[in-house]
Amino acid sequence: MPTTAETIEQLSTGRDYKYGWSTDIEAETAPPGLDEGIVRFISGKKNEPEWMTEWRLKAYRHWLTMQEPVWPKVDYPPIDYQKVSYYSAPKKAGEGPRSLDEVDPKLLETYEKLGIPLSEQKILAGVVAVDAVFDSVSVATTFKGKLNELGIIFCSISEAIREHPELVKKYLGSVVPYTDNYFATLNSAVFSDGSFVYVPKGVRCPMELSTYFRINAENTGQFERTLIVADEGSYVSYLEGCTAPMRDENQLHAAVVELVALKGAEIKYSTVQNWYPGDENGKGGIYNFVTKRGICEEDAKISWTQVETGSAITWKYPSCILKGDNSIGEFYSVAVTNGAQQADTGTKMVHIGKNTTSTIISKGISAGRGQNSYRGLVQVNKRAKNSRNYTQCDSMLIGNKCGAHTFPYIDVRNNSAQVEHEATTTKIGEDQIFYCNQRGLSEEDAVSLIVNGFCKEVLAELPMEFAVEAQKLLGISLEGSVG
Amino acid sequence: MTTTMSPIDQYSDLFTRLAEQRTSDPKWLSGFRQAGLATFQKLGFPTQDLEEWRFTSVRPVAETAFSPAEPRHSVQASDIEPFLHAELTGPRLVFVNGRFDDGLSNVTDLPSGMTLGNLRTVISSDERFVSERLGKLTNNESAHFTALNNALFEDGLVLFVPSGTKVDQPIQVLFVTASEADPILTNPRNIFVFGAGSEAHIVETHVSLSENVYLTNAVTEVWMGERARADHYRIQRESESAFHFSTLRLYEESNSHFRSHNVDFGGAIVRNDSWGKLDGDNCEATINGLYVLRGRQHIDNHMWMEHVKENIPSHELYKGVLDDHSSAVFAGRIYVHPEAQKTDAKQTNQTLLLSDDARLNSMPQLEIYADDVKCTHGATVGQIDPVALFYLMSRAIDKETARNVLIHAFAADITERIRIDAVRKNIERTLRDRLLT
Repeated sequence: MPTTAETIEQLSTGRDYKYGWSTDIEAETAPPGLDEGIVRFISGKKNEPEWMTEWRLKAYRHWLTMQEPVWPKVDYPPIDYQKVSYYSAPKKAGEGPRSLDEVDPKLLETYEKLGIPLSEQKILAGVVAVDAVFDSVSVATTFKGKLNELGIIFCSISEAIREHPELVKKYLGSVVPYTDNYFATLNSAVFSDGSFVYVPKGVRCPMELSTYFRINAENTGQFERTLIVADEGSYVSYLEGCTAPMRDENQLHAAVVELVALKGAEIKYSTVQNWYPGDENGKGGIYNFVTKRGICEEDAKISWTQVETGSAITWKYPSCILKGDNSIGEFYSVAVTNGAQQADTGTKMVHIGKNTTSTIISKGISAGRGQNSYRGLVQVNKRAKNSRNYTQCDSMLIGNKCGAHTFPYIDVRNNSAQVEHEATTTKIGEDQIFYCNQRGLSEEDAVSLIVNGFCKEVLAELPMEFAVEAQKLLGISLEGSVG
Repeated sequence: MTTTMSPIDQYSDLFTRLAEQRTSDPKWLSGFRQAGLATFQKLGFPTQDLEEWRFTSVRPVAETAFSPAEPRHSVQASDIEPFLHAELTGPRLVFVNGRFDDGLSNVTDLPSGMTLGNLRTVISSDERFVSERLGKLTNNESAHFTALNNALFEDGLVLFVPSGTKVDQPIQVLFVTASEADPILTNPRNIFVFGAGSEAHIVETHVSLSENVYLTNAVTEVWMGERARADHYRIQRESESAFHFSTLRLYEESNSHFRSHNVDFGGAIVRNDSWGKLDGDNCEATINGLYVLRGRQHIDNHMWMEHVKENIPSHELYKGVLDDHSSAVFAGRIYVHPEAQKTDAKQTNQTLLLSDDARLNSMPQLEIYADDVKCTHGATVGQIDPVALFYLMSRAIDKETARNVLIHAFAADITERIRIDAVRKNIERTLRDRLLT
């Protein structure tokens, strides 16, 4: 039966990156290289107070003492950190635009291509507020007024540093300290911008908060810093989407996301990541080294959902520290590697409080010459009585040149804990494809259908708008030219 | 030996002293030992910075000054009787402090062409057999304790089963440590070669006559010819103050099947490395383990199963019962080569924590490069099911007994797979005694 083989052939050969173009905007870019001067330059550019500059410098000095990690199962040529430019802002920065009309029309056009026309979304009945990040500076923030009424702060992190220093001081680095790991420390020194959310006590955020990240200028690193604080009994759902234009040079991306869920709060964080994955020979593409972590106080809940289809290299472990009693951590992930993509992704669930519960559902799909690894830690500390964890890792291989790997780490230190881990590896069966063909579906549609079914448990966790986009992305990522 | 000597120097010193006794060694063997020492000097003792040793500290081993085990002839048949399986009437080989003890052993009526003896004797009687195999399956570049064994091994078991030969009676091997107060070091080295279509069963037991501190560092290399079948039982009942390191290197050709069962009761720090290279179509491998720990015992089971050819099932089931402050590590890796289609691999680690102070680290891992495979792994950890306990108690069984029944049932998954009645009963008895004390 040649059909399956043909499909696989198609899958592993070329595909176009749908979002590959670049916008020609004059950017104000720092010269390549990193030293204390650059750190001060970035801090100065953002009119940051002295304590922030000091914090960055402490991080930078610590970074100098650190080694780049080698344990992830990914391969890439050594990065010359002195060749990266650590700051890039659209030139118009200075006075941030107050309304959409003031935003450079070229930017708006870019977003329109991405399918998030701001102007339209504004009209769209206030479902989604977008704090759009173009390269490093937040250019437009919508729905701020409406959120303000509820006391919710949703702004760029630079603004928060200026306007709400007491909150930022208290929580920045409280979940991911500046000494945490190589990339997080680098981020702490040079982070350019990102989002800040604060939801006050007992407030349920009425809309999904959303940010679109996009790397644009050539050879610039993108270092966002996101901090979300949900005060007691509040709820917020945050969406993050990423696409980046086509580049030849590898681009470095080292973001940090910190979530703080205070007593009884709930944070739902969803990501669709579609950075440029490089061509089928592994040339170009984004290096995505991200540290995401949340801390749960008593009765709090943090839920991570991610759909990772892009990037040449993904190194990402959204984690939950279940510090408070009865807190809950969840991780739902779909990771797709095709072409020469490599992903080493998973989660860490650290159970500290009593009766804490965590659930991990991970679906890895490998095609082409992609290498897909799940790496996760479930740690149950001594005090975490009656804790529960359930982990399920499923891998799917398409073609025989790819790899699917599972590296779970289970560390249990008390006997009332119950930890379960299961993993399976399968391929798309010829009989499944045949069944679909029989019913008039093309090979490509069949693959898309089967893969979407395989990922259903995770996709169901995404908010509606994202779920549709994610399903499309899965199709695009796997079907190459089919689109 | 001065106390200021670094651990590595101690072994170089030991090596030099032993070399004087080994002047009759053939040249290739001296070279082999020398290379082992050089590697060990380079590697030293593993530290917890290494991923492979992350959860096991060998500091107590490195900090102990061991002296070479002197041959001891004072061990009587009555001393070892409790550790022998009396029901097994086949060949029996006893090693005392690492050296073959002729008087306690009984090797007669072997099928023609079969070799069963101790390594030292075989080196002189059939040097080529040993030189062609010794160290051929080990990768000492990254294996600290294998390198040490290469440099220092004293003796061990050599088994060659010729093609088509079936050995009916299980072969019993007993490694006895009868140490004085000073910590001693033994490095058993075993070679098992199974010819095409041959079949044999080996029961290997490690015991101690005292509760002293000592180090056993065993390395076993196994070749499975086409269609060969072998069952290997390794029962470890060392002193609970002792260090036990054991490495198994397995190579399988097509249609062969090697079944290994490791049961660990003893040792203060125990590390078992099992490596299998499944290099023939349709061969099969089974590696099972049961560990029952108490006090501050620590065990680290590392398992690496490499599927090279097509259509190979492999099964690994490791079950542990941890009491008191004991701790266990399980790290398994199933590695599937791109050509190893139709692989059917299953890896499971289940652990019962009896105490709140016990600790478990489990890392069942898969590394897969072929698409038409069925690979699953699973890990569970928990306490005795309170519902099951309640059920038994509601039938008027006291709590202690009910608990023991459930632990037995948990372990039965492994013990029931033991196909030699005498061995199974022996292990069940040891388990029962352990639970009652």
